[in-house]
Amino acid sequence: MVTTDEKGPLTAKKKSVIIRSCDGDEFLVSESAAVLSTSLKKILEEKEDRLIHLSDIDNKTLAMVIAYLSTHADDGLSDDLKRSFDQEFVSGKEFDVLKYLVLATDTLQVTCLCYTVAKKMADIMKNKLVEWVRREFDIQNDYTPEAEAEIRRLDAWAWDDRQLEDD
Amino acid sequence: MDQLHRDLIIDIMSRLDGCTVAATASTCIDLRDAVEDEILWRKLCNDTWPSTSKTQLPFHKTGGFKSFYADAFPLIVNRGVSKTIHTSSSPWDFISLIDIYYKGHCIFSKVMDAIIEEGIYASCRHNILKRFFNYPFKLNLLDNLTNLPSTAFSDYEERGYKIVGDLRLSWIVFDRRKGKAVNISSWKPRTVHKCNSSEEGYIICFGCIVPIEDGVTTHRLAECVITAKCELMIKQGCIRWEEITLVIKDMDGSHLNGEQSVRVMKRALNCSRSVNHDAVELGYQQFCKQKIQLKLKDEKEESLANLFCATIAIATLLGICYACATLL
Repeated sequence: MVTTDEKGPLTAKKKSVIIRSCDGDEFLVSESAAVLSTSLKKILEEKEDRLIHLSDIDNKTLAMVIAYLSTHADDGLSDDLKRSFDQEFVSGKEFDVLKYLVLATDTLQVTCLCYTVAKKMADIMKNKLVEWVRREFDIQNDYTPEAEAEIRRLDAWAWDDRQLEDD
Repeated sequence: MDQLHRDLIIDIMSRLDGCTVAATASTCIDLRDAVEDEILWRKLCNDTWPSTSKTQLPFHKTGGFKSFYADAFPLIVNRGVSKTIHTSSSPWDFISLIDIYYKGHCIFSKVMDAIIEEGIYASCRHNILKRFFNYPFKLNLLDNLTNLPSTAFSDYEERGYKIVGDLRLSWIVFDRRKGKAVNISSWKPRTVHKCNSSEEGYIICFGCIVPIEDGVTTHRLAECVITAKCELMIKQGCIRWEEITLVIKDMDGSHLNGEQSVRVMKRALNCSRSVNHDAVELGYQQFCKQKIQLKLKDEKEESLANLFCATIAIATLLGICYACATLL
């Protein structure tokens, strides 16, 4: 399956690249959009092949990243519009989705998206219980109860009278 | 942790507030080690207080940016008395780091190397110190050089009072001898008054209450008062700072002298603190109540004393009259 990006059919003049996700689906992206990712740019410079296989990014995440890249490659859009697109892009997304996104942007080296997503994740994490953080990041608690109590005692200032949330 | 590698987690952490970062450290040992990173805490400090990037803070071996954050982020809470420390201090021991924010953006920052203005007579330090210790303490933040308008708001529709009420101020005092810090501001304005002299002029007060136990003053609480005088230039979206000063007052409202102020500041460095601003506010309200009670008590004593004086005066007069009458 070949899906064109959101800007509709590409003109023959514009060079395009096919990116394959780990699920095997292929996405057609203009080269101007693809080069916004530092990793993709490097690959394109190194080889002539127009098909790039990304073995660790799934369909859903890749589609989101490509939508982002295409919007940012569009010269017709003003910076203000792009900024508001960025805000819209991360708003309402679940923490799990953002986690995959930040990982994908890190792999693809899309710095500005990585920044936006990390900021959004930080905003969600604010005032959350430690249990929430452990659950969302799949962190195993390897402290002994005594060691954990000691850590909390040392950083007591950060715990003092704070209302923390668990959802 | 398997999915997101450590660098990414640290990257996300560096965008959090220091409180959440410190609390998150207790999730697991690996993360704990990761967030002990001095560079991360330096970034958090520089982001929170841009003034910290303007100077090289003389940290001691034990403390770095993390302990600075832990010292300076929570506000002093009027809750009991801290332990006494007997060491001498000079006004040159304290560095002040001041930042003013409007709606989350820093609009003004400044570092002051001492809480004394040396002026041009810096050669005779002894005399300056003598003068400083004996006269009422007042630290002026602005000189003509820094008195530049800072761009703040773009929302021209906002009313003056609303804009001024949204200002936040942080005033960190750092003791270079001990390597400790404290925030002596209330973060939010305590009071806002309109200035009579100009149309859009405001006087905003920030500050904190410092519990003291030893014989600094006759009362057990002292108040650090930060007064900012500014003029809003609504059309330009700027704030012009006219005066930013720090004074330390006794509970009866009298200004403390330099020597007492240094002792109050040293005491403040060891005060208990809280990140809960409601608790801080509550402590301040209690202080205000105590202040009013003290004033009423003083007035009562004064009126009693007046009555006593008047009685004696009348008695003396009657005595004189009687003596004159008998003599005649």
